Amino acid sequence: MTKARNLSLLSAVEAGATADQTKADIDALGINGANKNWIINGDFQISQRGSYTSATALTTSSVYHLDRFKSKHNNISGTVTHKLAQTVDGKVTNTMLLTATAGNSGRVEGVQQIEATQPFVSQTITFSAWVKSNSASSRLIIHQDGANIQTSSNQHTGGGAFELLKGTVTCAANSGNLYLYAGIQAAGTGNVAIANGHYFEMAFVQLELGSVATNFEHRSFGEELHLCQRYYEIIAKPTAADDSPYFGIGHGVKTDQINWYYDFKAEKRAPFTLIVNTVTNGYYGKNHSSEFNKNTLGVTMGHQSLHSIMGYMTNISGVAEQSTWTMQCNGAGCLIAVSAEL
Amino acid sequence: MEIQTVKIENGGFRVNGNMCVPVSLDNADYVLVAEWIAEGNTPEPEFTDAEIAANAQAELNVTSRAYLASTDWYVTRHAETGEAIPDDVLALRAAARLAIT
Repeated sequence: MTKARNLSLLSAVEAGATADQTKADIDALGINGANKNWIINGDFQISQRGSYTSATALTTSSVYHLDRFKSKHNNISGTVTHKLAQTVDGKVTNTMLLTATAGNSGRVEGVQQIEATQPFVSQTITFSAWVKSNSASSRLIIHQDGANIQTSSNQHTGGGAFELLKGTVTCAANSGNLYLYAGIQAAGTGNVAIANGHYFEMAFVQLELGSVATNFEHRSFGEELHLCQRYYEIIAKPTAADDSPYFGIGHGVKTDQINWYYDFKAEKRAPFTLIVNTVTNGYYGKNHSSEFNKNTLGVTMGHQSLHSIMGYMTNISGVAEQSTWTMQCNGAGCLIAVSAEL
Repeated sequence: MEIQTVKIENGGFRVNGNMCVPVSLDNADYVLVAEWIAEGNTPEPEFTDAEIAANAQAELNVTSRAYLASTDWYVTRHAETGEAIPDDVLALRAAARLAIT
């Protein structure tokens, strides 16, 4: 099949070509309509779990910081920082910075796990990111969990400037979940020699079908947030000490319990975990003349769906059956969220 | 997530006091709880002995009050007509009153 070449669809890699565009060209570029990037939050627009614009200590266990990205260190110490409005490849974007704060044989890494339901089986994929680092052991790695295969990108020069790292692999028939590791690490995600002060800053993280690393696909904040909310969604979180956001409508179900209902903004990937920060008198059921409050909330797990929650406030007394209540947080420290992360 | 405490709660587990985790292998937090249990750890029961006793008493209070309410008409009839309250009803009402705390 041949078609007139549409240069507007092509990346800089192909833009200089003059021959007719073929299906092979298109496949190589992975141009299959919109939403080519399977990485969520690849430009770090979203940070639902908190603010990490100040350096935040990493642990040896992977912890979700910037939404779908987990990060950790191994055998050293390190921090993660959310850097806003950085200039990368001539564009302004947010980045995620990992910094070693001790030297040893170890690693710092961020990782995003991609669901096995995605259509990667036996397909050629390309992963890429713009990375700034002062370590020549900085790289990206795709791990196919089902087949236990790791594929590394090219390594960073360690020259301290942003460079495009990329790699291509044809996934196995049993590829399973994919993990994109990004950090200062060995080719098989093992430890390497790291010095105190080594850093790895990444931007424009992308995973796409095809054998070419095309330009990063920007999504709007709303689109990206909605994609993140399939895995983690905040129901209520005060943004200031005097803020008291609502978390649904409650009804008196029995004398010692109010049930509350909340419809998620995005259907969850799997049965969810309810997270409620413990705050003294932090959660209220209120109406015009009375109120109840508790330090925490709960949920009966057997009756939940993927698109909503029926939670409860219990160990109270004097609730009239079928009474109605405005459910509300009470200031700083409160958080109600659900997680269905991988 | 580092697991510090696990308590059975309403068909799932309360972990570290602030997370309600369902029993589902599709939930990553439950997988960690299952591994924690497989390592030989035991979740706290849903209710302590004191809570179990309190719940039982609360249930006894409800059933006792319900029995008294359902037999109050014997007392009313006795007051109005002089007809005696059956001995078994008198005994059971006495027991019900004693049971309520």
